[in-house]
Amino acid sequence: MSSSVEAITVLSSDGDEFKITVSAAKLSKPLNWMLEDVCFSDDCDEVPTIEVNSKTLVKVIEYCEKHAPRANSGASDSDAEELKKWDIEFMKMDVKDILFHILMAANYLHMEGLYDLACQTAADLMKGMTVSQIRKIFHIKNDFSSEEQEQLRRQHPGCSFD
Amino acid sequence: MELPEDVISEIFSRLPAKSIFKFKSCCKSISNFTNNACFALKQAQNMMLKGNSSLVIQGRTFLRRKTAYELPGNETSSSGIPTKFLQFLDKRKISIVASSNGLLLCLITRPKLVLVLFICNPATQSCSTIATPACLFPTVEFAFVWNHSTEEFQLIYFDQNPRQGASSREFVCKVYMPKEGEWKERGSLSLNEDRSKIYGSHVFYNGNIYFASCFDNSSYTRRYHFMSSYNFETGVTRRVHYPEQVVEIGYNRPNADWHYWIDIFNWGKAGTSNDDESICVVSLVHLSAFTIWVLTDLESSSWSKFLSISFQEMGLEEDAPVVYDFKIMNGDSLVFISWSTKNVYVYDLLGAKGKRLEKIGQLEADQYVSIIRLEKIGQLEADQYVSIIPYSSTLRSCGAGAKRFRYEIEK
Repeated sequence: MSSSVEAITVLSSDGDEFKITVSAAKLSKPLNWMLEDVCFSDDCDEVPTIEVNSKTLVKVIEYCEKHAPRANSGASDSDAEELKKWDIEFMKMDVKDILFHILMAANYLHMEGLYDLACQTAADLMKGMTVSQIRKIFHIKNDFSSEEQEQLRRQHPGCSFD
Repeated sequence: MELPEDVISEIFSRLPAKSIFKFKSCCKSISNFTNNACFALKQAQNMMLKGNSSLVIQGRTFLRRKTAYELPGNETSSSGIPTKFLQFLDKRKISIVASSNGLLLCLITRPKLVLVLFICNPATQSCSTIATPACLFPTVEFAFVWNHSTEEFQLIYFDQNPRQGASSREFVCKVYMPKEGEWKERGSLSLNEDRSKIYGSHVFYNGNIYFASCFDNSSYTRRYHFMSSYNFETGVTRRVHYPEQVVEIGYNRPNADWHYWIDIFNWGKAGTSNDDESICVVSLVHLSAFTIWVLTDLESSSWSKFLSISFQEMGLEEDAPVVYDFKIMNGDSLVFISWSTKNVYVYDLLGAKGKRLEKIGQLEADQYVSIIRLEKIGQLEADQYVSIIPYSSTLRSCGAGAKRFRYEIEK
């Protein structure tokens, strides 16, 4: 790999161009492969597309750039604490609007750290919700018959249907 | 955006068991995957990484009333132990002996002192009975640990070798695994001195079990305190000397042990595979300051002093509280109960959260008997009048023979 390459350009699913540094791209295996392809191929003009929309990709790249120094070198504990605080701030976002997109992107890009973080954030937000709110954010329909509801209620007195 | 089921399952596995039960009624697919044994295992594993979210405080000797408290950062009632369940235990005079990752080891005292031990999970309402061990519990401490290789819990205790009498230096290690369904001898250990005692918390870390121990040293007319470790695989017992200052305060000063209290805990976040994980010893000296030492090397008994802090330095407003019980939870939070105000406090040892000292609740006045004599507290092997039991809301299984239980509370 040529050492002169410091950043690569990728396209989002909306067709916007984004730059991501080589060290940040290492947080994701698929991105890393893509990077190697770009650097080793003779035809460097082709810009790879990532199946993630622009709004989400901005956030994913922001996460990668922030986490890259620690992931690549293993920084001190005080940095780890600072990074944890940054993660909390970073995750302050709307569930349906962007968090689920980030979750899917992290899954697709094999980014374990971000996937973990997004799952945990979603779970924390869900704790205070009602069943109907959960159905709404996950787009699910109540498919229980009234007999089944009654049975479930008997088994688990703590569950509710609204 | 619609998420695939495996991603939804991944998110759900990070919820406390209580919330999972609440959301079972969303739809059939959620109800189905949350019933799956693999999902339960994953959820319990995730909760283990997160640490215990709440605790139960139980009166130990007289009234056994139990109250649940949430640690800071946990929304109330989402992850705690069901109150109804605690009321049920109180009513039946059942006490909690130990806890591990959402499972509780409970003890019922039936008439004529028939003792029954069982494991239960309050969240899944399942339980299984444990064969009664041939020891003098309730004086025995149980170690309740999760065995990663068998993916089952196991119970361990040390029994003074009955063949050699009560002053024996020999202890037999007894282990219970739910698959075997009986207590089995797993080696023995010798503490080298007669009239040795094992007391305090039994802590499992890295294949070893650690426990506080002491023997009467007639030449010093004082007790000599030390920590012992026992390795299951090799059967090796090791005497781990406490840091010099701990020993000095412990037995060189006259009557020092009346105001002196030490216990052993796990240190650092479990399962994060960093080097911070270890064992720590916490001493409470003259009821005024906590000192925490972290074990850095087992073989050479090397310790590093992590912190020494007085109540004043913690920011505690009451003067010189007498502490009922203290415990390090999740390897980073010091929980203690003040006798004078009955307040329950958590002190964040790593300072990762904004406010370090937080009051998480107050015991009710009638909850604990007020006849406790001041000088009794702090006595090393005295009954601790209340105990702190960590809890985490998990789907952890009680073992193969587990039964569902129902608890009815009169309205």
